[in-house]
Amino acid sequence: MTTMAQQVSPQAIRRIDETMIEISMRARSDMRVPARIYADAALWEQISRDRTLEQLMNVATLPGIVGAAYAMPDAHEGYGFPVGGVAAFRTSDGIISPGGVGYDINCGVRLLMCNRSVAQLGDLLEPLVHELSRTIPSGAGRGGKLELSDPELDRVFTEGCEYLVERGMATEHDLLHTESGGCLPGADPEGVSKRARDRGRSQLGTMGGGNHFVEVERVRDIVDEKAASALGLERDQVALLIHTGSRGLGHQVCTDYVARMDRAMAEHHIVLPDRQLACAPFQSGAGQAYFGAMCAAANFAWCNRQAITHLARGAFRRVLGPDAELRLVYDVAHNVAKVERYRGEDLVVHRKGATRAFGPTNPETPAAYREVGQPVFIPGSMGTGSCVLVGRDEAEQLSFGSACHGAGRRMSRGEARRTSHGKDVLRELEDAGIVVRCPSLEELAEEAPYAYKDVDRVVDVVHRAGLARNVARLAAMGVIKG
Amino acid sequence: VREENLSTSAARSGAGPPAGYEFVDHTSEVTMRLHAPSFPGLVAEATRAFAELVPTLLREGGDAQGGEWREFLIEAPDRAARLVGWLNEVIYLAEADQWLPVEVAVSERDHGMDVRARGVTLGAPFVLVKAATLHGASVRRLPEGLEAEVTLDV
Repeated sequence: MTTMAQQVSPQAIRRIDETMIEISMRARSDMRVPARIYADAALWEQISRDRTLEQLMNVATLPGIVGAAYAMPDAHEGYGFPVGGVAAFRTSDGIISPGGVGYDINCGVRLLMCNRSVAQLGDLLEPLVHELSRTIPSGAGRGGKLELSDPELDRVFTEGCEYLVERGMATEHDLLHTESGGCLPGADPEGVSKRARDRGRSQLGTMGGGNHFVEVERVRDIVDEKAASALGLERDQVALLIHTGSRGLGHQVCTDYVARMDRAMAEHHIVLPDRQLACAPFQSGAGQAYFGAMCAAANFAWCNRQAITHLARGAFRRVLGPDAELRLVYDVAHNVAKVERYRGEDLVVHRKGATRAFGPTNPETPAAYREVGQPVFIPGSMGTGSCVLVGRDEAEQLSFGSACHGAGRRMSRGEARRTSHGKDVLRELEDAGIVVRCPSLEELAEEAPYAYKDVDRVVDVVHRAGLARNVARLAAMGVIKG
Repeated sequence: VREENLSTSAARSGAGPPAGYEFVDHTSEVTMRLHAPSFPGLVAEATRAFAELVPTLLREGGDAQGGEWREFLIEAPDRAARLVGWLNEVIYLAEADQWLPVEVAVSERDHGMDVRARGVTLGAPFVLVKAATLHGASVRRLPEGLEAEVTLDV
């Protein structure tokens, strides 16, 4: 089989160092900037197998792009942008693209630490996982306990997590430890269609399906004692990791604006190599309308993870006792477009399957983490554990302050299902002492550890490239899949 | 290829060109490849392919014998975008209305198509497909009929 790398002229591909490869603008006449891929030899071989590189070079053709189109070490084929793609466009004459954010707007991860050790948890793991799975709606067909009216939705859109403080579902500490305080300014409720509202109205506090999860973890290893201490991590401490996004509301916002922009491409005289990259000048009516709706959906997503946190806190108290606490370490988005300033210029930075990784000196890094940098979470596959890192200041020069968002798929869902049966995956996880709740064995097979890249290798590249610093390793004890 | 429905669905078109669908590997999403003698046939195959993704459990919870027909107008500049537009309509209906189209009658018009669909009620919202994308969306004429591809975000 010919890999995508073999289809690019060898003269156009250059390894810059052990962690980065550059595809020069000479590779294709329509590229405006080079494409840079953070990968070692093994990850490069995996990334080259599907259409990741073609999609990254497509991104490099978009108007107003600055610097380079970047792929993180967990990158893989997506639609439009590759998953694990980062690109920044001038706000003055560049574009904004819904396909550069993805359908699950502000899909992200939050980590909470429990005031219990594994030893204190004792034999309550299984009851805890059961209670969490009973409490947090997940998977096909399960709606949430909240049904929001339009005025209530508008407050979620414009106030984000602050609104949930008023409703007793969030604390001021939670806001201070959520990216952007759990609220992007600039949200425009008017830009969110009735259809999007209909899809999201009953979904606040729900996990959804696919690769979304809630996991009970333990801190297995600490690599950087100083940073771990700043983040409040202790070896063998119990933790909770939540991965979900804006649910049907965000999906519909993206659907609405991809269709709108696709119809208007000729009007903006933009020629695209892939229609899913449909975009509009950031300053145009369509560009601003999408940005306002995307910010609203992003705020909905933060509220969704916060509402799940509220439910999880209740479950922990019911099982572990009324003094059981879950302290939010941080909440990071990995599908979003944000206006950020680099070298004196405002850029709209698209991160699709990539995490913001600001260093200690960035003003957006929470005060509590100014000594070490913003926390970055890289969930591995079920059973292989997840990693905690902190952002580095150098990342602003290297990747517009970005790092990867996970291990990254290396195998299609179909191939994963053909490789092993869900029952076997379940048995392997249970043999490793992991309590699993998943409504579908087929889905369990699709999300099996072998379907993903080696998370240690991915984190190693992130660490060595200077994007973020490795702090600690978590091991899953309980997995609740959507 | 995960599953082929070409052999069974060939019977749908009698002795004519084959009609059917298959799911093609994609690293993270689901790509459906459709075959039919005509564009309305492609829309019908897309509807059947999507219905296959809906868990039996959800369908059993609803009214499997439901015979309600609804009418839709899908506006899009070309056939690939119309197919994507219809699938996004189906995704919305299955999630927000708990209604799954299973049979369609299609007539094309300038800048769009009219779809008459019979659907069944689902026992709960179907939320596992986020959207149909324009990435690689295509409708091609082959000697034996039409072929289309659409990638779904799952």
